[in-house]
Amino acid sequence: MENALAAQALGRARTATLVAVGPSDRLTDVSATLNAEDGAGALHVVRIITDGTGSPDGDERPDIVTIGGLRPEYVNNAIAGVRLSSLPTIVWWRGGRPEGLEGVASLADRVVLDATDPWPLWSRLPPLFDQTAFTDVRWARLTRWRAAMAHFFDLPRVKESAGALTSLSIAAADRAQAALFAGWLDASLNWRGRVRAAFVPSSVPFESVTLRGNTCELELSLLPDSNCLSAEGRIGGEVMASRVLSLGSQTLSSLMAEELRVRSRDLAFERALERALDPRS
Amino acid sequence: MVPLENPLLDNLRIEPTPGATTLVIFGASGDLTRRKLLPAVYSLSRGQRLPARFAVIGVARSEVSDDEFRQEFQNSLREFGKIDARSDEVMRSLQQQMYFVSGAMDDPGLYARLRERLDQVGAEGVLYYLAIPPTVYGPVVEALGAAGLAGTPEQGWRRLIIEKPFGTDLKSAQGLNALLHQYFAEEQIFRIDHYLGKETVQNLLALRFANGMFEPIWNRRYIEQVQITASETVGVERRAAYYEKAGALRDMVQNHLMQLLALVAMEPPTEFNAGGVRDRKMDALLAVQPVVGNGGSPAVVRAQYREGWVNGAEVPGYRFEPGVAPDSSTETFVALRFHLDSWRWAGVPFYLRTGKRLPKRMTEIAIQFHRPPLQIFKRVSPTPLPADLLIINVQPDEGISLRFNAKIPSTRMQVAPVMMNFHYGTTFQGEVPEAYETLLLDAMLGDPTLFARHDFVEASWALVSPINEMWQAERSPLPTYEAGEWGPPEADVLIEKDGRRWRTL
Repeated sequence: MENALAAQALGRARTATLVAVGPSDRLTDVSATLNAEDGAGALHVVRIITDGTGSPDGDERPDIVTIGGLRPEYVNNAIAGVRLSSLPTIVWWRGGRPEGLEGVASLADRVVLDATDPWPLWSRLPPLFDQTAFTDVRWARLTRWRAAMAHFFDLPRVKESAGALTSLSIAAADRAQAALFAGWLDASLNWRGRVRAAFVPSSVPFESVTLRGNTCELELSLLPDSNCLSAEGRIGGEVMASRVLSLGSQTLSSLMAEELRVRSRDLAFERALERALDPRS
Repeated sequence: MVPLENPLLDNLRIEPTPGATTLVIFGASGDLTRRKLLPAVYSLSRGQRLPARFAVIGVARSEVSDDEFRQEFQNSLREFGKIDARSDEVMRSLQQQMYFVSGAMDDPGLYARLRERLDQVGAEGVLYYLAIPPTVYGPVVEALGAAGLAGTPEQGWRRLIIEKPFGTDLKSAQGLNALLHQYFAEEQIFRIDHYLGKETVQNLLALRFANGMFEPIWNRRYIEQVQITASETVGVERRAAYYEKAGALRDMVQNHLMQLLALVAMEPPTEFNAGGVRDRKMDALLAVQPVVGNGGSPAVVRAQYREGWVNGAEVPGYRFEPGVAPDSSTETFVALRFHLDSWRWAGVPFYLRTGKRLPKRMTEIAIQFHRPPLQIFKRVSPTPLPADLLIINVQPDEGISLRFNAKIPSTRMQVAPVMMNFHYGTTFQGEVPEAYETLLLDAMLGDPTLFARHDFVEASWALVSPINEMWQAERSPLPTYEAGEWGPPEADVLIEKDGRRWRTL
């Protein structure tokens, strides 16, 4: 109570302009997504509708600016008009013509991709990496999985066995997310095709990762009906580490909150994406 | 072949985690463990900040089984972490890595059993946390040394966290440091001052050294005075036994307030690392002039609260609190003025005040700038305009405010002060970590930046001990203040003699 009153009295320091771009049906939850986070008030929020003039349905924050009726190729003009010179501009790309990304890259300080089909966008990204910082909500969903895998490699015996790894198996319904994870491992551990990835269908977006080689087996798997994953590492039959880890909140609100905290280029994402796009990987 | 560094950690948003660690808590049945340490361990685990191999070994005199300790962990989360973690799989997984070793702290058998447990969990890095009364530090440290559990092994590390008070005066602090150094190297010792784990305290470093605009004006040419206030509304609560011996000077000024002063006064380090930051803080502390024995009357005031009203409730005087002697001469309020002999700060007074049963709970640093050299608005504002002010709110509403004068919209020239505010809670998303989370993790990572170094502790005592000795020798009655007031009238006199006033908070 004391804090809430103080917060009201103190007002809010702005941290960024957030521009959500997409068809109207993908912009209905912008307000709800951002309102779920306490710090959303620190954002100057703009919605740009790419498929018509209508305003998206759903609850709205009175301070959100909505722009509609644009021809898709002029999204960048709208962003140029609404960005504030003294704050970073973050574009939340929820849909629209993939070619539009090129015009956006030079205006945005960061672009968070959140498209239903990411591949047409991803294939355009590598030449744009030098222009702005890109990321994808799918990448944010992988943060905890990546951390769990990375922690295995803090163990000296796992690190020593890394050269002997030969197979990677990922069970996931979201093939793009799985490819991104595999690309990250490939780029980070410099496999260069030495370890072949197998993708196994699943009923959940991302279910498990198993890395094997010689006597080493590292396994991450989603616990049923849970927001936790189990992480177990074995070498020569001996359990090196076994624990349950939280995946944190995987709601879009939380993932966006995570993305909004990042300002710099994410080189790990860029490298992972390049490997994911590489047909040899 | 994977390089020595872990390449999977590159650009990982979850920051580095320590290598395999076992946390050994001495005093595992105590309040600090239940209130702070176990909830902090759980939070770190939920945030994936703990290593793949992690264990907790509780140590205490009481006979407690592993299972009972695991249950205690769950209870502490419910009671103090405000988390009902019964169905939490992370909690259950962590519970399986918790063990307990019982025994008297001076019993060599305890340390033999501890060694067995450490071997059992395959500990590489071991962090000892002394959550025990300072009187037991000596026996535990000696026993760890005698059992061969203190030295850094070929593979892994051994570190020690101790809680304040780091001694009760300069001599005892030197004695404690000498004892610790017999068995642990300084880089193995982490003296915890939870103030340094607070986000705003760390943000003070960011404010000063991540911005180009403050540093040029952060000196005597532009700054007129600095006021550091740490006020509490609570009384002595359940800490009478400790507080009676400590008092406000030793409980707050020697550690927390001197740390804040050093962070404000320090020169810029060349790098943000433990050596750079702590060396510059030490330089600042060495420039602080003693308030006793420096000629003139000492610029320090102490007082004790008597009965009064705080937050609309009537409260007893200090001497009527449970566990407090009816004739106690322990101070519950201190106000003092320091001067620093340095090019940056010569002539700029640093006023510090702290107390219990004050009207408001808050900790802030107020940097007051000089007024303009010429009062050109005298005609429209006959009284001097308020000086510009930069306020760093440490708690409870963490943030930074800047007060300056602006024209009121009108056809006339009217000027009034306005505030610009940055408030952590509304600006940044996500939860702010508890100070103990930050500090525990830093100790596991071996980063002592936010911990007190031995020379800082001793230099701080060297400033504070003479004040206490002077008070012990004094025969005049201890000034008092009514609970709910901002200290005694003597505190006002202290600053008014300099032509200044305490900020009204």
